[in-house]
Amino acid sequence: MMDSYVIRIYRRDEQYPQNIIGLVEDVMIQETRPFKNFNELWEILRKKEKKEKERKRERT
Amino acid sequence: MDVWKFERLISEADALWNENKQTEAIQLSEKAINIYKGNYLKEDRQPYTLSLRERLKGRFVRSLIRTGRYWEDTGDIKKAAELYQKGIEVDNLCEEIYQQLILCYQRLGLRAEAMAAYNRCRNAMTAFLNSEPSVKTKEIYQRIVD
Repeated sequence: MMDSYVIRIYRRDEQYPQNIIGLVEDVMIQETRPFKNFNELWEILRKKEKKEKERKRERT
Repeated sequence: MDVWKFERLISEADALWNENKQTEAIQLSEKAINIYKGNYLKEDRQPYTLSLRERLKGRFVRSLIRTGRYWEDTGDIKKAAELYQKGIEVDNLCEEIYQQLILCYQRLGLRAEAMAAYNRCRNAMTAFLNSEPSVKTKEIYQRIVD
């Protein structure tokens, strides 16, 4: 199944470009989560992927 | 909301802004701003609608800031402040709008309103972004407090 996200970036740090402040909205479950840098953004997206894998493993 | 009309007005206004025809651009921008009625098809979760909704919102916010700045430059601060208030209703996390609103209140001598706008910004940043206002916003606020 395809996942849909809306990623809104509200602020960029000119001195430290990796620091971006924003929100990720998971469209299907209508949940929003904030992030402060690329790592946090990646973690939010990865956690969902991990959860899906765990669910599949539990089913089999 | 008439999406086609909104986008056409914004595009025409942008072209006029680029040609430095400010008076005509303002008229079209204000028409477009009045057409926009918040998040388009809010409940629809289809990817196409999502993308359209975000684009419309982005164009609305950019147009609103440009129009507000025009009114600030021409001395109609009250009108600019009213526009910025409308902008915050649509996107309560757009810090640039808060900054301009605080500055407008300062110019109007409305210190309490300026402080309230800052507090609203700080509360929204904390609640939704788990963050504080930016250095620039804090500096603007500090100038009012001092």
